[in-house]
Amino acid sequence: MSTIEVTDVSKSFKDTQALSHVNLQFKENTIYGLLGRNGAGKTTLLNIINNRLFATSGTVTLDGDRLTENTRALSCCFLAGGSNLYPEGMKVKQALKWSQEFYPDFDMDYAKELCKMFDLPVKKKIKDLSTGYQSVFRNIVALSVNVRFVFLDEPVLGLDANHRDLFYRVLIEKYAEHPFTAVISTHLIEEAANIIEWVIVLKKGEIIRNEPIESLLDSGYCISGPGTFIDSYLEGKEVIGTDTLGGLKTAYVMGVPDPQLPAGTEVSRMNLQKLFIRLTEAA
Amino acid sequence: MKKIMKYQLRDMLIGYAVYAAVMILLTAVTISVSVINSNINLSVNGNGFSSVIFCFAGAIAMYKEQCQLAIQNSISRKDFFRSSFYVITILCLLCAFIDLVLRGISLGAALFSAETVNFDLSSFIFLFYPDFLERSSAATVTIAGFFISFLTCMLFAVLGFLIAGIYCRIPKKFRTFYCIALPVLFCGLTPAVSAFVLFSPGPLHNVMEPLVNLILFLDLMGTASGSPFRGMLTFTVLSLFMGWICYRILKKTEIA
Repeated sequence: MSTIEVTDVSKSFKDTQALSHVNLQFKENTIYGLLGRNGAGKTTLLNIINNRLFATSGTVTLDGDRLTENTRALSCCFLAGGSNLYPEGMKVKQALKWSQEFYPDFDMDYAKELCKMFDLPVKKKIKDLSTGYQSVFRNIVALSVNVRFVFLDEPVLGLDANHRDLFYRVLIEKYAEHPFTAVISTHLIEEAANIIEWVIVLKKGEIIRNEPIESLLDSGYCISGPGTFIDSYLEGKEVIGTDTLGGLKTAYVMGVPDPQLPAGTEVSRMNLQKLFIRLTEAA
Repeated sequence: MKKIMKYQLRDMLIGYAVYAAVMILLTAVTISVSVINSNINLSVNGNGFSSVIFCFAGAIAMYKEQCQLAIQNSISRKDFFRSSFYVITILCLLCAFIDLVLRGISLGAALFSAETVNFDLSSFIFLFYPDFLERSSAATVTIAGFFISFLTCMLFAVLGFLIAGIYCRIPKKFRTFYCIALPVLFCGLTPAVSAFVLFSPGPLHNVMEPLVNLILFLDLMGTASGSPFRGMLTFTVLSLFMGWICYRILKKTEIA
């Protein structure tokens, strides 16, 4: 089983420490969620893994082989990043054709099918596409290259709700048919929470959580019910957020629920977004 | 490396095909004009320079656009450099070849109707090494001319690659200044300062005179001695040196 190993990677830009002693493993056939606030270092980390930026210190390896400046090892990875690195005049269909040249396992029929599904204008130049369609284009290439490790940096940036829903469905279908490792960096945590298997949370260039989503969500729970009951239940507990709707209240609580719950209340799974906000808040 | 080289070659060959077609067309038009009007003497001396400019601009475009594409498609910088070096070499060989073909066309046209064609087409070897032409056979001149064209194109292509490499390496805020300063420096300041130093009387001239004499003594281009081989050696060494600097710059360039 292939593994990408990030060992003690640090990166600084002048006076900014973007990443600090990051240690990670990306195992094959898993969907990772790379979460963090703006400037946490998500894009920098993805760019270092994919040989676009150089780490100030530390190494990135694929099965023991360094990924930096190693075309053979890099051919197992694909990064759909935020910036357009395709030539100015290149059209979508040309880019797909050349992707097939660069990645021998590129599935052109599948890419064409996705272009139809997303209504992507293939005759247009990439630079002339709207922000949403540029994201769609990058996602289509990423899903069609058929490499072991696909890195998606903000894959739903600029996408409308329909296209976001379609993208998540297509990603899951693709993953079910041909498993691969997808590392998704996103701010839309609620949406991505349903497909992520493993969560990595970055805060100010450091990893603060790196565990399966189940275990992360087990660190807290949600309790809902009549407001008065919930308020009395919450006394002395670590509450990370509450939502109120009429007389009903939902609280997000760290720890394990009490064996005896107030009447009329209900316990459910922790909300990833609430937990993320709690983990990454400034203080 | 083969994958990116295939892309680069295809991209460059499209440009080259257009360039070659335009040059052949221009030559054909010029010959036609000189055939139709026997009282007109036409001389085209700049075709070598157009090849050099084409290689220079092509190398800049190659670095700026194809390097990013290579990185997007998981090609290492080292493989991109190797591929670019091969493609530049092929491009320069083709440009030297088109210079040769154009010369052949002009000679052919002159042979067919020596009475009416008053057309002459020169390239670098004819412009810079007239002494060499007098003491060498036609075959030697043709071969030497081909290589001097090739190496001149190569030198300027590598220079273009270096200029683009520095552009991509420097921080974005300095890029506009770099784009303005470079032509001003090479086309304005350098000739102006050189002229001032060489022709103005005074202490500056006295200081610089030994340096100028040394450069003339070394005859790096081989123009004084009429030896294109000196020029070939100089161009080769300079191209390799600039290529090495390009590689050092590319290896450190971050693309994101």
